[in-house]
Amino acid sequence: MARERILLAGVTGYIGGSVLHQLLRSKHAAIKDADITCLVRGQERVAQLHAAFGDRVKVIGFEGLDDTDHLVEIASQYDVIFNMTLGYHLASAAAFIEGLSVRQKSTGKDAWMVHTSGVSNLADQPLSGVHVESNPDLEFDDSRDNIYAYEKSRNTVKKYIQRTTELGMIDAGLESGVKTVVLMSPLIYGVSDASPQTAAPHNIDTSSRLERACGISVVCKFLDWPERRSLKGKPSLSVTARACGTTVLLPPNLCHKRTLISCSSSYRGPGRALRAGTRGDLVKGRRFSAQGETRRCFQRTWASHVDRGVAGGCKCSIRRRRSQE
Amino acid sequence: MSQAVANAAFDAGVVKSNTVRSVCLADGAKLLTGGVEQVAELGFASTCRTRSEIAKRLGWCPRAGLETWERGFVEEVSALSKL
Repeated sequence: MARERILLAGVTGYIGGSVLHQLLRSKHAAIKDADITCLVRGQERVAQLHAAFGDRVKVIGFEGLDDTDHLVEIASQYDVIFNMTLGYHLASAAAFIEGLSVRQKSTGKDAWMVHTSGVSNLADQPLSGVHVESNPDLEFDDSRDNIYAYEKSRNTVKKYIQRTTELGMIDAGLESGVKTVVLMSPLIYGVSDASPQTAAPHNIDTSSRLERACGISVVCKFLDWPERRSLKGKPSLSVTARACGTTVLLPPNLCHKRTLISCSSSYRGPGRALRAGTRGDLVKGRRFSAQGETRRCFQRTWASHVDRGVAGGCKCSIRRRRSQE
Repeated sequence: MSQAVANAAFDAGVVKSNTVRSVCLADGAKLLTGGVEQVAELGFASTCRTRSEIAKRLGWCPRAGLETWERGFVEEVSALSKL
C-alpha cells in the first residue's frame, strides 16, 4: 500500500503542536510510515521546523488562509488533512476539501479531512435567551445523535461563525465525496508542554523542541506597569504575545496585569485580522492602527479566542516584531 | 469551577479574596471577549454535555479524570505566578 500522505495545518498553534507531537510518537503502522507535511506561514517558520525535525516532517510555506488557490493546489497532494487553523475560516476549509477531492479522483482512494471545531456549536444560551433547551439534561452522544442536523437547525435560527464554518466544510465534503471528521473540543487550556505525561522518551520532548524552534510560548505575559507605552497619547500596556511574534498594545483599563492567554489565542487573533485587510501593512517593525472592518474583525477574532482573563479591548494598534526566545 | 479557580488563586496568594461574584452577560463580555456577547455566552456561560462514544470505540481511553482536572487549577495558577 502506498504511504499515506498527511498534511497538518496549524502546527504552530496550541492544538496543532500537540497533534504533531502525538503523531510523531505514534506507533501505529499507518502513521509511523506516513509522510507527514506541515503547512506553515512564512519561510522563517519553514526553516525553524526543518531545524527542529529534520527529515521526519516535510514543511511547506504558504501565504495565509486567504490564499485559497494555493491551498487547493497543496491539498490535492494529500490523502488526509488535519485542519487545526482557525475554526471559523470557511474559505480555507473549503479549499482543503476541494484539493482533497482532486486527490481522491486521481488515486481512487478515500481522502479525509479532520477539522477542529468546538462544543460551543451545541451550547445553550440561557442568559440572552437566544437558545434555551427544553430538556435541561440534554446530552449529545456522537454515536447516536444526529449532531449535524442539530447544528443545521440551530444555524437557521441564529448563525454562529464556528458552526457555519463546520457545516460548510461538511457540506463541501458531502458534495465532493471527501470524508470529513469533526473534533469538537470544549475550552482547552493549560500549559501544553509542562506535562510529564506528554514528554517523549529518551529525554527528547518534541513539543518543547517545537516550542523553541518556533519561538512559541504558551503562556503570554502582560508586562508590568513600567512597560507601559503610549498609544495615541493614551497609556497602554504592552502584551508580548510571543507565539506570533506580535506585540499587542491594550489600553490599561482593559487588561489585568497577569492574564493567561492560550498560544493559539494570541497567534490567531491578530494574525487573522491582519490578513483580513491590511496585508500591505504587515511589515515587520511598522506600526499601524486597525480601522473599520479590519478592526472589527480583529475584535471578533481576538475576542473569540481568548481562553480566559481579560484581553478585552482590541482598540489597539499591533505591531509585528521578531519572535522572542 | 469559578470557586476552584478562586481558591487556587487565593491559596497561592495571587488574589486577596476567594469570594466569587457574578457579572451580567454584557459586563462579562466586556471582561472576556471584547464585548462580543455571543462568544462570551457560548464560551463561558453556557452548558453543553457531550459523550465521545465514537472516539472511545476507536480506542481512545481518557486517563485524566476529576482529580487531574482539579489539580489543573493549582498548576495553572502556579504557571501564572511565575510570569
